[in-house]
Amino acid sequence: MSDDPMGLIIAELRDANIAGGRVRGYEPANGDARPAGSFQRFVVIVDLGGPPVREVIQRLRYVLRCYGATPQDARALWGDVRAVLHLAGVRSSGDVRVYQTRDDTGGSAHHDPETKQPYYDGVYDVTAGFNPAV
Amino acid sequence: MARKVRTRTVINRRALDAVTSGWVNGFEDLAKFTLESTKPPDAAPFGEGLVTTGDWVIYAKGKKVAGTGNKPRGLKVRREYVVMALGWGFPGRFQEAGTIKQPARPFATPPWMSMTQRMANTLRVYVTARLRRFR
Repeated sequence: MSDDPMGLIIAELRDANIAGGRVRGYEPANGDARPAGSFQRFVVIVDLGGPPVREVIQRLRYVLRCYGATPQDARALWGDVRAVLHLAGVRSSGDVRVYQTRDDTGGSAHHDPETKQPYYDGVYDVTAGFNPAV
Repeated sequence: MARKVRTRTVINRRALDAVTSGWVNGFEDLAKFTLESTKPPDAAPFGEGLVTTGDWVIYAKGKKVAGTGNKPRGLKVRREYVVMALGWGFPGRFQEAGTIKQPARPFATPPWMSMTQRMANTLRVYVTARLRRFR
């Protein structure tokens, strides 16, 4: 059994057509990062870890990096992601249940140190566990 | 190399009341615990030689009362709160959250989460010890 909610969150964002479905776990996919002048939108989610709250419930912290063509575009993408995830409530998929996803820090603007692509990032608090229906 | 605690910081701390002083002692313990249990990755390409040490600072009654760090620009210090800031050098962000070319190596969040779990108990111990002197 797996209780990693990242797959469920990625699927939710792709279903909402965030960044044209370019939502990745941990690292960008080949072709997501382009040189200056042809930047495109994509989202990278990284699990920062977190302790178990009870035996079957864990509270994780995910950092979401929303890359855009411009700083304004990155900010808008962050807003689109927030509209899908922030306080979205209980949902399940397979053997994973997500009880809540909450924007914990708000976003802040940065540039990637190598490609200089603008991005907006912040930390989400994810409360998740096993889906008792399975 | 750790910086010295300034005389002004020591004087500010002596002026605190017992409860606030207990809070400051508790936060100081938590900050030290978090820094000691953190191993920042000193890795290329971003952060090599820069993210080897962290620092912390505590403000109470609007004044710096502990720690050797400087106040982060974004930190709001108000007289009615005890505020602790703890952090690493700027490239630590890239180590913690990753970049397009560099995978994330979270070094700060796990000890920070561990610290928040023991926060209530630690503060209780220090504040109780301070108040016991008045019995």
